[in-house]
Amino acid sequence: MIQAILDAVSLGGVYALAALGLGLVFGVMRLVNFAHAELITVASYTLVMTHQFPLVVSMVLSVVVASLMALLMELLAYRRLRGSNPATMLIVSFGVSVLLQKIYELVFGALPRSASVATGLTGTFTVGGVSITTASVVTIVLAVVILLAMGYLIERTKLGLQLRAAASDFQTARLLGVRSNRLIASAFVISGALAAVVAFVNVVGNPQVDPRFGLDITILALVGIVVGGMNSLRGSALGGFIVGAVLSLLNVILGNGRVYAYSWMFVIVIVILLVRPGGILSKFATKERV
Amino acid sequence: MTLLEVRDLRAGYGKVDVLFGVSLTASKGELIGIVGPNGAGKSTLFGAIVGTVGLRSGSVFLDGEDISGKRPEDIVRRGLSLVPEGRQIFSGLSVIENLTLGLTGRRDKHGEKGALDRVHDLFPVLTTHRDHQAGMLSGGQQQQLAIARALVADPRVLLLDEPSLGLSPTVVKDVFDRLIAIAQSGTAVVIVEQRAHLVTRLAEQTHVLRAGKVQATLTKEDAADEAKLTAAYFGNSGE
Amino acid sequence: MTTRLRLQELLGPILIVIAFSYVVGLQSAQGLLIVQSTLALFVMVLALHVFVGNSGVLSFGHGAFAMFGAFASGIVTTPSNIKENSLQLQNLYPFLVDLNLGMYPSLLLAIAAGALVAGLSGLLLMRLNGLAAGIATFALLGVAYNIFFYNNRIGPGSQALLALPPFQFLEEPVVLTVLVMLVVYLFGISRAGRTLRATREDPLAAPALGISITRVRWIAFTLSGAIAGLGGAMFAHVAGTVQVQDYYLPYTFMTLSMLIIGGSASLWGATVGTLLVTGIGQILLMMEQQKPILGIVVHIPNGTRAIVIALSLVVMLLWRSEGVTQGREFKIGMPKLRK
Repeated sequence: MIQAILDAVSLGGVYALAALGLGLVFGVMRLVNFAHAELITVASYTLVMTHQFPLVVSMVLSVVVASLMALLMELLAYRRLRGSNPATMLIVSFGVSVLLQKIYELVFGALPRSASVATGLTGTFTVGGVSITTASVVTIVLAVVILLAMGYLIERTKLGLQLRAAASDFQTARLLGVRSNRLIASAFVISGALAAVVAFVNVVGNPQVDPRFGLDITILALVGIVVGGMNSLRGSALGGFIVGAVLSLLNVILGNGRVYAYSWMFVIVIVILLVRPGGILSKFATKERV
Repeated sequence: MTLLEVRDLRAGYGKVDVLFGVSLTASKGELIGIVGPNGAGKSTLFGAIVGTVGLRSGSVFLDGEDISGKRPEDIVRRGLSLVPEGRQIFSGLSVIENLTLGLTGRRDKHGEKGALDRVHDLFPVLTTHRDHQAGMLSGGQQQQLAIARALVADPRVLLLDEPSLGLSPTVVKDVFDRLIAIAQSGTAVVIVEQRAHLVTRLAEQTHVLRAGKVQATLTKEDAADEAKLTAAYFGNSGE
Repeated sequence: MTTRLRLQELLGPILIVIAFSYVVGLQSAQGLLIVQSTLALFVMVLALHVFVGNSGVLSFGHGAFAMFGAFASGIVTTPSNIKENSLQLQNLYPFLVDLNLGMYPSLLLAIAAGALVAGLSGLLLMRLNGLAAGIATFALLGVAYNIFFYNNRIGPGSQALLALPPFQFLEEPVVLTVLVMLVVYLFGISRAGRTLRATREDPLAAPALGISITRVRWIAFTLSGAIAGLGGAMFAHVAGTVQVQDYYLPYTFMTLSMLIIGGSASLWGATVGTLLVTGIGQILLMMEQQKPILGIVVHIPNGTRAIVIALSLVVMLLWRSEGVTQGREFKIGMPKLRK
């Protein structure tokens, strides 16, 4: 029971981080970056391929690689689309996602690559007679630390203020001197770094990395930002958490029906888009901005 | 000393042309008005100056430097600020956060504290509501915030698009008094107004914009002459 | 923009599709297979064109209609002795075990299934625009995939149906495809089609003219769902197998790419896109397999083909978002140079 709750919180934490990465980029350019999945995947490959290095080195490398990849995406593809219709941007990011999957397939092969990363985290320990997996506790701690750090960055720093301003009205932010290229690049770099964190906790739990490794979690994080509200970073993170936690609990509660948990999630998404496009947290339905 | 010079500006959106060769200048300490009916191209003119609307031809000089076709963020960093139509404050952010964002466009990063102090002196109400959400302010207070947010960047040229929109007459008078004070402190101020009489009496020069062209330019004295104003505004031919 | 019947716009693409089918299809058994699967994909591209091309609204959800069409047709054409004895089909609803149809009635069933699912989901989905529509239709695909993957009362779950009757003759898919092209073209010039395109150009004008955008979109969505159902079923009868994974993201991606690369707004665009992507794909495949092309063997690593197709989609969207045909219909003669 306690393990179930811990699992729910830790999965929620992971999805909150993934959703925050998506939400940051959406905020500054109205782009739902489907290829966020491939940032998670490339960070995971980095962790697996460098497993013989000290863990810290390997983690830093994965952050660097994912951030660079995010920066490249922005520079080579998304920059040309600024101000385009969000649906066009969505399908381009879908294309970028498939493109990268195919490149990973060519480079790393279609079969999973695996290596034990951070073996110290795979065990269980006992507290007061209850057995608990180390991974779930580490995930929760990591997610809390990163979310607090992100909270500080967004609420208390100049960069964060610019990100919030740009998310609500990019044009006006530029009129005040906010440098659009630099700000968007920063958002991508941060989302890459968040993808690397997500990759780390996932690889620890399941070190079988294939070209589609990041896909499921990204689709669910996307569900999360719709649920929480795409226009607010806090909403995105919270939506991600809700999706992760609910999914984890549904797995326990639904029993045999748990295989349909995804369907319920998607149905919820459609309903929210219809009745409350601003997310469940929004006080009123907001219109999509062009 | 000419701070802003617009030369034969042509601009538009997509295939539609809106401005057909507009020229004007504004000097240090001067207050310039631009009036004209709906759809005359007033906001487009400002958009073309600050870089949010693409130029077809013509050029814009800020204190002698050609800024035509530069990006909005680079233009504001050179000392030209716009208070956009409808104020466009960040209603979800606090008053001080809005002002802090305004500091982004400053060239001189040392004077930030002083700049904030100056606008707090000019608009005391903003000090009172420092940490409140900007969206909770009244219309007049929001307009003051929008002007203050532009001022903290220490602009040499300040453009205001319809500053009177949605404000009561007393508040309008209050806002315009401050704009006069801002101009007197050495900033070139250019105001777009649909309600012509608000600016014609204050501005050194008022350009009447109609159908994308400057149809007439009036001085303060001309503006006092009602017939002349009406003729300039609506055109002589009665089209 | 087409407003009335111009025969060359219809006959041009049809003749080219027929020519392609016979030239490639009569060469070898493999050529026949290529033609049949290309035509099945083409029908799906046409389905997307009817909705996406005419309305300008994105849909990731058509894979769901193809799934329903494919499984509807697949289950009723799987021989009953296999349905009774196969391990993966032992949980099938009894009425599905008892229902056995020939291929052509099963295709009608597929059309009905696609139309039904699209019609019902469209009642809700057609109220959405832009990004929300993109995400919601994606969610629809996710739901359909999830259900077919796990529900072994309506199908084989994650397993495959293996014993569908395949097409016997080249003429079968060709005739079906030509019929669909005719329907698609006629819809395009119909009142509903023209109205829908008008709403794409200017969504604000439509309500002013008393047109319900939701209604005309729903008509197009349902029609395109029916065609997608047929396309999915045709795809199943090429090789005689159906598996849910065949209709998920790669399928959606491939057909959307074909449409966008060709140009989503015209019948000609859908045709060009499908043939172009197929052609490039085949050439690259031969390179991957080190087969000679015009006597020359060029070797490229396995997987290059998929990369090139994905790259073309992205490049096309970034630099020429109206596709190769720029939304124009087929026309004989030199294109007029624009000043």
